[in-house]
Amino acid sequence: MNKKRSQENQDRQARLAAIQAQQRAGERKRNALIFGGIGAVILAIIIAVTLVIVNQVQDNRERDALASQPIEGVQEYPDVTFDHVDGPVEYEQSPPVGGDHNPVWTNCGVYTEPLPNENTVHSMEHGAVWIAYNPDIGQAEIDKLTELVGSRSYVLLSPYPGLESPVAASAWGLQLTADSADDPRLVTFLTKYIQGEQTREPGAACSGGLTPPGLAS
Amino acid sequence: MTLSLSGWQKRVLLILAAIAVVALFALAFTAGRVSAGPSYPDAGSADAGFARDMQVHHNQAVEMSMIVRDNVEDETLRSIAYDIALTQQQQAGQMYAWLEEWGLPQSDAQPRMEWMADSGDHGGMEMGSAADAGTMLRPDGLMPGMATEAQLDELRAARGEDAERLYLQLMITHHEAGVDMAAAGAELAETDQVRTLSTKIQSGQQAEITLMQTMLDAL
Repeated sequence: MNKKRSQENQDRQARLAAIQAQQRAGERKRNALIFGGIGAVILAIIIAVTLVIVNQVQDNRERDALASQPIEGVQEYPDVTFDHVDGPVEYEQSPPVGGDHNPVWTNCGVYTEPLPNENTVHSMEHGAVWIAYNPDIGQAEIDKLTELVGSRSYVLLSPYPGLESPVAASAWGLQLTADSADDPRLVTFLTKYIQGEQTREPGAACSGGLTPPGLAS
Repeated sequence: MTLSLSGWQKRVLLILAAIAVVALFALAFTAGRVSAGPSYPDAGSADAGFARDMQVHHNQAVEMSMIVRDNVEDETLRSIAYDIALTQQQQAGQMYAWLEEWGLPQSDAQPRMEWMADSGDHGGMEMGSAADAGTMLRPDGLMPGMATEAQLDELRAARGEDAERLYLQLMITHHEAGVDMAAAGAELAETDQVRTLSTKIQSGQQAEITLMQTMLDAL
């Protein structure tokens, strides 16, 4: 009889042990899921944050690179003078990109007649870009240049008889020559230099000055 | 390792996990701000001082230019006044916007020009006895180069060549002090904006002094 009870006890204990083992296994699974879940969340956060930081750093670097990228073919003239004088001035560059100039600036706009150098140099001191073209390039090209200027402000467009290249874009101390109005660098020049870093007198106006004959718009 | 956790132990662990998540978010936020956010100058900085004081200086140049344009006929002088008024008003606008961007008020309890105290040679300004008091302001309390109300009244009443002469004299004095303040701004600035604009103000106004002196000599 004792043998039977002790056998029953043994069986019960064995079953109890089995159930307990099962319970522990179940708990282990549950714990693993909980810890695994937490670990996965933490890992996801770390990955997401790292991606954001890497992206931001990349953006910053791209933005800086874009701003400092020089336009291919732009000539720089850092030593131009800037006094205000009356009367005609002999300029080293044609069209001029800086130097002594008239106290009154040329008002920005599109012109069908040549502009006075001494006043237009002052406009560039105020941040304007001057696009000059050889009048021989033909009306089609001239129309394209007019479209290029579009509704931008702080820009002058005018014929420049005797200009060596078909088109020359100038800002204070800078010049880019181009063979046609289609040159994509002209667009970049406008965006980069209209009231750009090269402006000697930031905040100054390009209206209220002198309007020479030939204002088209 | 087998973890058999009781109820409260599990709760503690979940709370710890939640804290870890929050801590991670805080860390990530900090990393983001530190890497991408700009750092702004504070209210006592030279940048803020320049932005406030130079606006006042510029605003008076605008006022004088608007006054003289109505009272003289010489087109060259009227054009110069126009140029000074528009340029300096726009630049004042830039400085106003910087203070807004920096989250600083346009007005401050600090005395004018205190930010310049650290500039070399006190910006080359005419100091006089007031220098002992540690202020760069004139005995009458105005910043160097500023016209007094009496001088403004004189300008308002003047006409023709008298007005031209008075304007040029007042504006040359105004510009000379402006150049000094801009030089101090360029020297002490911690931001690129202040350094760039003050450098350009320095050279632009210096050139205008030369022009105005020539015109004054010709009168």
